[in-house]
Amino acid sequence: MNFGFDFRATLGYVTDPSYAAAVLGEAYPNTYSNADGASIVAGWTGGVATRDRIAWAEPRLAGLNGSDGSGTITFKVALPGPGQYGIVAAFGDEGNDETCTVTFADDTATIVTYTGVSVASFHSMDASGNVYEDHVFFASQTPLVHTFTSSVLKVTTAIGTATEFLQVTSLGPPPKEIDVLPLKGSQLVLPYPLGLTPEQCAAQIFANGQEYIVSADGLTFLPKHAILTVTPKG
Amino acid sequence: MPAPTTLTLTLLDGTTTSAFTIPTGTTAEQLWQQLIRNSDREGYIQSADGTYFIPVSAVLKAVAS
Repeated sequence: MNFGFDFRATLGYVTDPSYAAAVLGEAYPNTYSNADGASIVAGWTGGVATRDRIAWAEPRLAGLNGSDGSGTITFKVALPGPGQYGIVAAFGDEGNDETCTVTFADDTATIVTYTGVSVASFHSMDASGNVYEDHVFFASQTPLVHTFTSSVLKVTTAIGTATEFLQVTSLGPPPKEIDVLPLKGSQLVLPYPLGLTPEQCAAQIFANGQEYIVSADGLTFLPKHAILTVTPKG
Repeated sequence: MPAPTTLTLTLLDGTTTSAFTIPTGTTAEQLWQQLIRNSDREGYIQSADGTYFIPVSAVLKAVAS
């Protein structure tokens, strides 16, 4: 699944990439379809204002949706299912300086929050909280990668934070097992903790002070120094 | 499944130590934690019969049975 959302006010203002559809402030649930033939349910909760800004530049940054001033707003996406997703996003306003506050969340918990990030006009903040000039934005931005245990993505923006673009790409099902290979001998297979990315899982194993790994049945112990590889498996 | 009563260490060279007895009221993991308490790679484990010493860094795995 690869689906992009181009936030603006007028459908024909620019031409969307084949994987993207225009978001013109529709309330959740709304079915969006792109030129690649994919459809997805998404939409806003809260009072939304829409703007077209610049049609001649990057179509993904041509317009925006933001709060109408009545409070925070949330763009909710119904994902096809749990799994790991890459999220590309752009926040800012081609015509104004902004101070952006954005929260990415799944059904139950916050994934990450960026608070009070200064974004000048003709700049955008990405899904990792970095700010780049718009003409280099998509070549520079860093996607947010998250393993969803639920199938809901929520992007909440404060008053004064404009959303320009959002893209959600499925990176595969969540890992179910961790394959731990010792320096010698046979592997140890452990259940994979839900909600972590493979990198977070490996980092937790190697860096949180845990000096050993216990097998699922509680009978085998591997000291950290004897671990050769840790591999999440689907 | 009965509670395990022994903990056997396998070393990096493939040899196996004499098994440690898991005291009543202690889990295998608690015994393992005691054995590697000084697991800064400077520590060592005394063999069950007390006749030799194993650097923690030489331990490949421990298996309770």
